Amino acid sequence: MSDQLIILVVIWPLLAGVFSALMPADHKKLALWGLLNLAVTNLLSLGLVRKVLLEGTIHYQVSGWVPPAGSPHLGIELKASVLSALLSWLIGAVALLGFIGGRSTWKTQIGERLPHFMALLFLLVAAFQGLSLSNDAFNLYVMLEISSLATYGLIAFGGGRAYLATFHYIVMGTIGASFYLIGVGYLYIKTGTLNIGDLAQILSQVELTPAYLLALGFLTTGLLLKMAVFPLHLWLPNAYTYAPASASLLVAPLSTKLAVFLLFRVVNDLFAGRIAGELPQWSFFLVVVASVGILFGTSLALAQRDLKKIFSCLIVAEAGYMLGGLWLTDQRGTVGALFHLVNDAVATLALFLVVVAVVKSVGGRNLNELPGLFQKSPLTAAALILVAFNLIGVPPTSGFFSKATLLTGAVASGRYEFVAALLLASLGNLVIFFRVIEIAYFDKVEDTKVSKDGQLAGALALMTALLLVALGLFSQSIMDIFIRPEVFS
Amino acid sequence: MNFIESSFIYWFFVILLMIGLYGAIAKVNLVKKLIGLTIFQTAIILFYVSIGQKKGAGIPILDVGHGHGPPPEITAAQYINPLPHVLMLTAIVVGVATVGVALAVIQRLYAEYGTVEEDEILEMIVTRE
Amino acid sequence: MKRFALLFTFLVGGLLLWGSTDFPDWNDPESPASTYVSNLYITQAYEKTHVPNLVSAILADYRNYDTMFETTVVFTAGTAIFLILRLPLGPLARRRNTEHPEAEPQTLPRDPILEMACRVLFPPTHLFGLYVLTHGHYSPGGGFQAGVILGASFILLAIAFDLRATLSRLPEGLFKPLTALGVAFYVGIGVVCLLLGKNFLDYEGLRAIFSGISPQMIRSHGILLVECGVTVTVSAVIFAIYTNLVSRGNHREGL
Repeated sequence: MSDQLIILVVIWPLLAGVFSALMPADHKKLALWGLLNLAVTNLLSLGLVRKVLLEGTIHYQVSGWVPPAGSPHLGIELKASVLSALLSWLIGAVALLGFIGGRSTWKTQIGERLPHFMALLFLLVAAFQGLSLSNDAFNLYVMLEISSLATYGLIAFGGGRAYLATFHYIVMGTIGASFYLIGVGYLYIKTGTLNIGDLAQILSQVELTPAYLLALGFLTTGLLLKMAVFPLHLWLPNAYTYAPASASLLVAPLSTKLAVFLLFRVVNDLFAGRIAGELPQWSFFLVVVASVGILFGTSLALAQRDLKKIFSCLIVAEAGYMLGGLWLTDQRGTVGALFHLVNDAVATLALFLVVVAVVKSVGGRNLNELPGLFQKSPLTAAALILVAFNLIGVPPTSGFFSKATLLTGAVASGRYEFVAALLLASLGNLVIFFRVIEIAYFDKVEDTKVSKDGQLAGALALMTALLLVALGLFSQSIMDIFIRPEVFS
Repeated sequence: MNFIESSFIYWFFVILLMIGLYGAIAKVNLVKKLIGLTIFQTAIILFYVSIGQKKGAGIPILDVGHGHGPPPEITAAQYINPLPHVLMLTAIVVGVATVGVALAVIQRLYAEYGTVEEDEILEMIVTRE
Repeated sequence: MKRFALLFTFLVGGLLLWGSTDFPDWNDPESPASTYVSNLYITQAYEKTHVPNLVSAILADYRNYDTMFETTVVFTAGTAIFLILRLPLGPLARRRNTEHPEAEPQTLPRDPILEMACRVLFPPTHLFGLYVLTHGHYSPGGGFQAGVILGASFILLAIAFDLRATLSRLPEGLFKPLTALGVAFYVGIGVVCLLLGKNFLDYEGLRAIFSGISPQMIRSHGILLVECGVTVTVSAVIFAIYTNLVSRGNHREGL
């Protein structure tokens, strides 16, 4: 039965989502149902991580069409490497924490549409799991589109300004996914197969003619649109800000990071090692774009006054870190980018949990409503400070180690503009968070009563922020066990 | 002549794609943007289906019926490539789903703002703040 | 904005054409796409599955994992549209009052020619949809096509007659669970195969239940079963999308 873990991780949330749509709209029962299913998903993915660590990379042929050795793959294959297994566990953990964190907002923001809302949430988790574990190029497109469709429904639920944000997201997201599909099409017309393992083997022996270069270009551009890197970021700040809290707690930490993972697979699996050798101009161009994107995202965040929008703009900056890291010619950049992926997923979750806690404690998200936050909810304040340290890059949080690895890789590649962008971004984050903390701490108010919901939300945010410290303390072993084998294979 | 016969389909797909992409980006009316997006996706579907064509081959359905079995010899050159058709079935369904969700969002936008022109909606949002 | 879009479009178009310069000739039977994996599909699909329609064989057997998620896409779209349109209107929209007053059935214009034509057309369309589903093995067809035709037959009813009359015969409480049950049936078949010892969606596992069937025929039957699940979901979602979009979510009146 443990052979089937890899597929169970994907279909358990899928079935949970399908059956959620049939359940009655009882908030308490649905909370229990959701919690149980997410807990099982977490256990399954932990089992998968253990199995992959013990036995090595798992290949699983859905529908049982195992090819004889030497002949190409028929049907669809799933692959669980150490990194994919880690990601699949990360998805489960973020979903569970986000679910618990969003529970307090159900009454005001969702109401009686909860069964269908939860159906979309579970389908999103299933699609993310499928994305991290699939080994077929077209299947990855289908997973990307399921996650996008579920996200459109979840975000549009916010009403009001969320509608226009969703429409922009639909247009840009579909163009991005279609660019990815064009890339896959160009690869297919030249090679005749869709399996990533077979494609990698064929590509390693062939010369990079215009069709292959264009495939790489369109795959990258499509995924850049999904990652929201400047200048293709226009959909992200509004979409994440106006989404309901339960939706943004699941979508914001994971959606762009999985696009980064896909980009890693394109660059590392398909065009392994050829970027540094044959395409240095691409590396140059994309690292410059990433550096500009980091600075742009940070400046955009500086100009905002809504806490949720500040954090959404910071996601744009973080996407630049990961894009630059992946396209540096030195492989330590890739290691840094992947560790930053894990770090950023947890940090974004913590940020959005802080937003929920802030709204519950002081009643609003705008900077001028923050005074007295430290007095009312010290837990939330502590969480905010920890996440601020993570984003600035203060040890022992994981942000320090990911930035350090990225900087090492950048210096080794000789890309000093990326180094400058990273350091300036730390400075920018320092300014942003100092401004928030200053308003929250130094301005006093009389009424320091906070509801139980607010205290619980603050405690959850602090727990997630402490997870960042744990990630930082174990950063070297995480990188050695899960990331380095994948990158240097 | 050979050049035209062997590559005109690629030119056709690219031109259709450019029309759709221009519509999706440049138009201000939301419904026109959606139509442009649909044309864009249709161009990609056309590209994939054109990959599978083979000269002189028939549809990928074997002539088997009640009373007689399969043809004695199944060679690949007799049937066009079925794989792009399978992939594009999925892509068409995904496209339809996206258009459905986009139309629902446009309906809500119209109910909220009374217009489907993007510049007017943005103006209304700005004046409300 | 328009000038930038024009520039961007021509850039993309030019790049795509440059990339196509080293494509194989169109219609070439020796191109890589036509000879690598697809050869195996064409030569082996019939002897392994006894399904003459190679597209159905690949869709519902070799690549049925993708098809499962395609059905999920349809279900997701139906759920998302339901969530978006069945929301209460925001304060601005309520002030704008774009809702029409409740229309009484008797006051809507009735066209006897349309109604008679629809009465005659509906049963054959319905039957044709079911035919396309079951004959998907032998002729062009399959689950998605059948689901769309079935959904269209319901939409025909809703257009010719009143939306509310159609909804009284096909209430939301019926077709909303159907959207979920089709996907659940598809995944359920896969889980059954899993529980019977084989990989997910490997129809060989079903031989333990239907004893005495050859490996090829069980695959043929498995393909038909999953196509049924697909048809149920697609037809229910198509009708659900129509009713929600056309009545702006309030299910009171249609076109």
